[in-house]
Amino acid sequence: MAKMFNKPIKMLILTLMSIIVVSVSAATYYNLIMEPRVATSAPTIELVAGDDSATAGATGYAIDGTWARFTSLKAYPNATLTYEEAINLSNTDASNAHSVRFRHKSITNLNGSATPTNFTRIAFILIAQNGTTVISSFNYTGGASWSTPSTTSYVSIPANEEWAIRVETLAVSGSMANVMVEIDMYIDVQE
Amino acid sequence: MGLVLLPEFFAFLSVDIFVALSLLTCLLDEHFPKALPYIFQAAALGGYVHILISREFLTIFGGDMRFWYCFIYLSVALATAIGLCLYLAVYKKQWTIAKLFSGAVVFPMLFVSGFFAFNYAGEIASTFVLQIAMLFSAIVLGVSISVLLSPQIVRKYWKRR
Repeated sequence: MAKMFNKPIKMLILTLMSIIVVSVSAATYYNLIMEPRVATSAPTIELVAGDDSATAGATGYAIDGTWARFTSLKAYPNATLTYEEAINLSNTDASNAHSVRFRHKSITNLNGSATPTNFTRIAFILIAQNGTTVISSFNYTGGASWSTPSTTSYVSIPANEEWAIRVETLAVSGSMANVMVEIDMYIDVQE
Repeated sequence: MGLVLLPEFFAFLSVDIFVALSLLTCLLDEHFPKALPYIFQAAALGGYVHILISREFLTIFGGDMRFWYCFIYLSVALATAIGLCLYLAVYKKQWTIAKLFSGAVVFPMLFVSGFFAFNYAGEIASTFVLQIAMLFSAIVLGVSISVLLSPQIVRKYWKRR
């Protein structure tokens, strides 16, 4: 009698074990598929050298294309100094347009509170490949204190296009020499 | 959206193969050693541990390494299935059962595994090929099972014994 039930019991035990093993394996595999992953990749919008990058002392952009620092920007008293292509923004995506905007982060007076009184304006202007001015409102205005710009609207850079960031500086008439200000700003990119 | 296979899919496929072999060897226990179903269950459990380790060390193991250890595990599972078939044919001299076993179990296993391996390698990407392969495999499986369950074959088998 015991032998008669031997095989069905063995089968039942093995079937239950099989169901458990397959279920937990499937659940683990599913969990593996659903796990979020982050892959590194080159940025779609890159900072690349423009014609005036060397004059403006642009550094850092060659490392990743994600940041740049201008070390030699100057501002003349009562005369606007323009760096037509201080740095360029390149859309490396061959098929899709991507949007960018300018956003203020911080401004630091390196010569104390008198610093802003020596400047009239520092502007960052985005120029499209066809020469059209796309962003013109990103101006830091001097005076008793700095007036910082609002975040701009997003503008779309078409695939494979390279746009220029023009920097315009202007110091007040009779400004002191070697007064320095440090500006940090973001370029937000919509993927 | 295309079918995305992770290398661990081969380990999962191997778990299924070992589980199927475990149940089959239990069902045909007069032809196989008694401990075999339990050994296959342990092997299937090993596959689960395989997937679990893969998940835990995902960031350490590279894609190639994950593929190869999962693929080797699948190869072991398939070799075991082929081994069982040879065991029936050569050692036990059960030609009919061996033929049926190869048609109903080993061939579909090899076919499906081969298909997914090729699919993973990107050599076969067409959905049409997938449908044809599945259809063909299902036909072979269906024919094999119907032959296995047909009374004439069973009667012939018992007569020979």
